[in-house]
Amino acid sequence: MEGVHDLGGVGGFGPVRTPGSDATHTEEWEVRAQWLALAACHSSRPWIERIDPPTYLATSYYGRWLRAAEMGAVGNGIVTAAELAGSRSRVEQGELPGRADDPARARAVTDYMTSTSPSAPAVSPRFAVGDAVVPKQMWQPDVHHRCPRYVRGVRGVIERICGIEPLAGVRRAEVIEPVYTVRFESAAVWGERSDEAPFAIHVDLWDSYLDAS
Amino acid sequence: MTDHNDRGHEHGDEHEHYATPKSRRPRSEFELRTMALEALLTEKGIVSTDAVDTFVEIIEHRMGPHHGARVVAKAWADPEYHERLLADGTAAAAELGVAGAEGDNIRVVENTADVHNLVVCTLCSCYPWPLLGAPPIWYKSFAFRARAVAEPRAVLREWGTELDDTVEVRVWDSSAEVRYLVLPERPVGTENLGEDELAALVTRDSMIGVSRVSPVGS
Repeated sequence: MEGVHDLGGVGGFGPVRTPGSDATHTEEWEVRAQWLALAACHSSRPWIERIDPPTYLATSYYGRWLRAAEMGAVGNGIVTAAELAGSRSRVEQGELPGRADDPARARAVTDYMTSTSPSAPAVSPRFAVGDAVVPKQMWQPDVHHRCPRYVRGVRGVIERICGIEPLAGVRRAEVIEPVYTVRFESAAVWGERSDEAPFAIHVDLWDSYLDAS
Repeated sequence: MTDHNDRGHEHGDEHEHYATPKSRRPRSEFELRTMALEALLTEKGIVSTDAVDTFVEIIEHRMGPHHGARVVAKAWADPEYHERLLADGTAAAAELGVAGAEGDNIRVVENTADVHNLVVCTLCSCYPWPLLGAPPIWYKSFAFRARAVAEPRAVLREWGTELDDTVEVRVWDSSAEVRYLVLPERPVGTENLGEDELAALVTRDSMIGVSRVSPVGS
């Protein structure tokens, strides 16, 4: 999607380090909301990206997970907006979510969180290390993808072949493509600058995002 | 405000989750919404309370930078492991029992006298959970996501990390499934330390690449 989540190079946000920002979170609900999103959305990133831009920018990190969880739960037909409103009003009146344990579900979370399925290697990928490539210009306002705006149209070089992955945003991942690490020089991305010495940016990009240069 | 613990007991349930905040602050809008959604998803059988508890426990406690530090310390101490780690981060981490969600394709990038690496995710906040746990608030900030790929040296200066212009800065934007870990430079004066002592020196921030590992005694 062409959204405000695509933040590379946007100016005006100020300092990175702020008081308290070394913590991972501050309130109990935050990490719980993240799991609710992972459970209700199936794929959470597209739902986070669908948050309207003013809300996205005005909402905290875990607040966006919560919003995505609500949108995903309704959008996937798990709950209705009316049920959500009803539950909200019961909670507001002081009713706590009842405790409902299910050891099998808890074990499934442990399995998901502690097991790894390494990416398979790419078989005869289109590009080789050292090849020059250019990420395509594109406009896909409604389709989740992972090609940041700031590298589109910029010439880079394949630095590594990462293996094959399901293409981001394709339903049930029936499209599997090689993913490449592409190295871009800062001057090609941002122009010659006097405030920063040249540096390199590496972005991992699916095969179909790239043209040969 | 309402005493939620008492209400919990009235219902005969245990409510470790969403216990009354000690600060006696009213619950935030976000907390109320989270509780409302968790109550519904629990009712519908989409989640269970212990499943949510398990996620929180694993990402907040079982995963974490202590695992990344073990990997780094072993790479410093064992040249063969060092080589395996740079060649295949996923397999080398698994040798130490470090594996899990957001760790299917781990790549370790090495800092040297001539190269300094910095990890970011501009599109969301991808992060190698099994090695570092949940990311710090600053890593998830708009400022870091926006600036790390545009002015990395200026960002590093916020940590007091000054790099000569001759040092090559390499920024890694975690835009697909690869999750990056920086192998910091081993500080001088650590030649006689064992792996556990070395691991104790390694900070989370040095494995993201915003800082170095400080020499012993500094």
